[in-house]
Formats: sequence, structure tokens, C-alpha cells
Amino acid sequence: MESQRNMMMQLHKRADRVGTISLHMFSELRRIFQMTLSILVVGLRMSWLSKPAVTNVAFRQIYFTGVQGLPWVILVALGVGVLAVYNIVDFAKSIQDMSLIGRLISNLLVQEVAPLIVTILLLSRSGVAVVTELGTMHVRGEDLALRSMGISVQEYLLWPRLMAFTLCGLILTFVFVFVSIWLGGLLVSLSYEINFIDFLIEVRKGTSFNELLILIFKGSLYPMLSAIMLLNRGCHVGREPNLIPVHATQGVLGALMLILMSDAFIAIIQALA
Amino acid sequence: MSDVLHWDELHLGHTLIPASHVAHGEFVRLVMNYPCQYAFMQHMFSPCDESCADNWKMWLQTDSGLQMSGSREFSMSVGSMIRHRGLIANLSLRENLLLPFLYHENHTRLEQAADELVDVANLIGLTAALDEKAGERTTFTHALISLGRCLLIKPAIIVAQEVHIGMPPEHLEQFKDISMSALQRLGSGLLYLTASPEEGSGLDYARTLTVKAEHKDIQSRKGE
Repeated sequence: MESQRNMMMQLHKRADRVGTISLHMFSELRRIFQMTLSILVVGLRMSWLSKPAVTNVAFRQIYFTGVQGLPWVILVALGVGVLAVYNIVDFAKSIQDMSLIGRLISNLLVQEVAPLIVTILLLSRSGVAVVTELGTMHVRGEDLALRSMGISVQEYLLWPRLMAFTLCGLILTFVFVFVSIWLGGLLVSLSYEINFIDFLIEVRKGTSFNELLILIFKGSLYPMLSAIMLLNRGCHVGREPNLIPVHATQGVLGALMLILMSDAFIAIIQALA
Repeated sequence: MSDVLHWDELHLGHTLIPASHVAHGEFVRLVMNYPCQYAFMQHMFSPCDESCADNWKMWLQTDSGLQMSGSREFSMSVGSMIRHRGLIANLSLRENLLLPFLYHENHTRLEQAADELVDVANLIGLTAALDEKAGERTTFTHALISLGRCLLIKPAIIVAQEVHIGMPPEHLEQFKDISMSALQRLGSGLLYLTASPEEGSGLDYARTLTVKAEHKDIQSRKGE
């Protein structure tokens, strides 16, 4: 009787814990959804284009995320491109099916590796900066100062960061694909038994318009999801400066998990379709 | 000008803030603890759209009508001076002074403010530092920039929150002189939020409202 009561108590405790976690997750998701919606509403209204204060922040964010991140993307794309092209060509030659080159490059490099690596690069370079900057602004009470001037925090602080992350993520994904295929192919063709033009023809054959659409979709979705996660963490630092690094780590790891889960979800949808 | 800032009775947690008003040119002091001051300011400056019109608790009554708190018109008619909250760190001091004009789409007022900037910077003694990045600054500089912004906006009412607290004596005296001459020049009304009646501003208040937290006990007395 006693042991049954203990078991019931334990079960209740566990149910309590699961319920609390579920409620917490639900409220967090609702908060993220509301925040995203409010940012998109003010951003897509486009009135920010005529506000020098907001366009100034947007240009700074694009410069920091896109322009300053460009050399790193080119460098990584070159390394990944050489490795991927070398291995793919080697594999295709070993089974004597050169048509595999285009398909593998398209399926692996273009659809999977490029959007993921670019988002990870953006996260490691700008992700921490976004959470830290927003967190510091909250600690300093700059959000209240902005509101007291009638400035929308969503429009002035959050939209430029979301927009810069998404736009630069998409552009850098295309740069990554271009550099990895062209420079990777060029370098491999210098030292390997494949003609560069033949290589490009194979790549062209293996790439369809649908794959290009998937690249655009993933190239903008992953950076956007990352930015939403980072902005959410940055806005919830509160007034404690010592919590900024905690939120920065949570933001970057959360964004990483989110894009990996999204990638898996998209792969399942593609497999089912 | 007959602009009057009104607020309705406000329940901030267990604390009741009585309905009152500040008229143009009138100095009113509202004494309450810091959490209440913060909540009061949050209420005043939170963005408000048409959907929450029924919950409006603060408004500015002007000759041309009512301006609800959180609206663009309200923020350009009610200036703010919040203790150590006058600066955005990653902007220059010039951008900090012009920020409301750079945000709100009014090119005439932006041009006018840019013209007056040199004169205002001279008055607050920051001419040489205008193009410096704000970064970390003293409470004194925060207060000066807030005051400079008010001088450019020319608000009907200024809401100040303990701007004089935490300044070294020499800065306090200097700020008192500058703020006195600025308030005379503007002729605006002033609502001073403070936790203590000895806040050190040296201003001559028409009314002092005291709000005691959690006891719903409100005292009001005339003059100083």
C-alpha cells in the first residue's frame, strides 16, 4: 500500500514536471511567434525605408553581417569546394559514372552543405554579437530611452538585424555555392584528370530549377530562423549584465539546433513528396 | 499654449497612483519608489495603437485635440529625461541628439533641429564632443543629452526621472544652472518623478504628490 502510494507520488511529480516543461515551451513558442509577427509587420510595411535612423542601422547590420563576413565565407567555400569536388570527382571516376558529379554536387554541396555552413558561419561570427549587443542595450535601459522618444524597438532594433541576417545569409549562400563550385573545380582540374569545362557541363546537367528554388528557400530560411532565435534571447536578458553570456550561448546553440531540426524536417518532407 | 498632460488613476501592483495632470509651464513632483516610477514610465512610453484605445490612461490635451501616450505625436510633444538613460551607446552624441527627428518622418523638423543643434550643443557644453561615439558616459552627460534633446524637440511637457541623482557636486551645480536656463527658455511643464522629496533639483514645484507603495495612502500638498 505504502509502495503504491510512493509510486503514485512519483508519477504525479513526473507528470507535474512534464506539464511545467510543456507549458514553458508553449509560452516560449508563443512569445517567439508574437515577436516575429510584430517584427515582420513593421518591417514589411516598408515605412522604415524613409526613416534615416532605421536605414542607418540596417546598413550597419548589412555591412557587419554581409560585407565583413564575405572573406570568411569565400575562404571556407574554397576549402570545402576543393575537398568536395576532389572527392566527388574521385568517386565518380572510380565507379566510371561521370554523370554522378553533377547530381552529387547539386544534392550535397548546393542543397545541403552551402546553406548549413553559411548559417553556421553567420552564427559564429555575428550571432554572439547580436545577442550581446541587444542584451547590453537592455541592461543599459536603452529600450526605455528609445520608447520615450516614440521609437519602435521592433522597427529600430530588431527588424534591421532580422533583415540583414536573412538577406546576407541568402547572398552569402549563393557566393558560397559559386566559389566552391568554380574555384574548387578550377583547382581540382589543375591537378586532376578532369577538364574544367567538362566538369562545369556535368554540374549544369545535374542541377535543375527545383534545386535552385530549394537553395533559395534554405538559404533564406536558416539565417532567418537563427536571427529569430538570437533576437528572442537578446530581448530577454533583462537587467542582469552577468546573464548576457548565458543568453548568447543559449541563443547560438538554440539557433544551431533549430536549423538542424529544420533541415531534418525538410529532408523528411522531400522524401515523402 | 494650453497643453496639459493628464493621467488617469493607475494601479501599479498594490500601489494606486491618483489621477492628476501637469499644465504647460507648471512644475509637478510625483514622489514614489523606483519600481513605481519605472512602471509609470513604461505606461507612458509603451507604444499604443487604436486597438487598445479603451485602455489609454495618459494623454496630452492640446489645442488641436488629444494625443494618446505612445503615439508619435505624443512622443514629439512630451520630452523625457530619464536618469542614466539619455544615450544610445553605439551612436555619436550628434546622432543621439537628432535621433527622434531621424526616426520620425518630418524633414522640416529635422532640418530645423539640425540648424539649432550647434546652438543647443553650445548651451549644454558639448560642442567639441558632438562627433564622438557615446559609449559609456557619466550620469551628467546622459542628463545633458536628454536636456539637449528636449531643447530641440521643444516639448509641451517634460517628464524627468531623478536626473539630478548620482552626480558629483560640481556637475550637479552646473547641471542645475543649465537646466534652469533651458526650462526658462522652453517654458514647458515638468513632471519630476523621484523617490525622495530631497531630490536636489532646486526647482520650485507647484504641487507635490506623494504615493506610498502598498498602502494606497496618498498625500498631496501645495507648493514646496
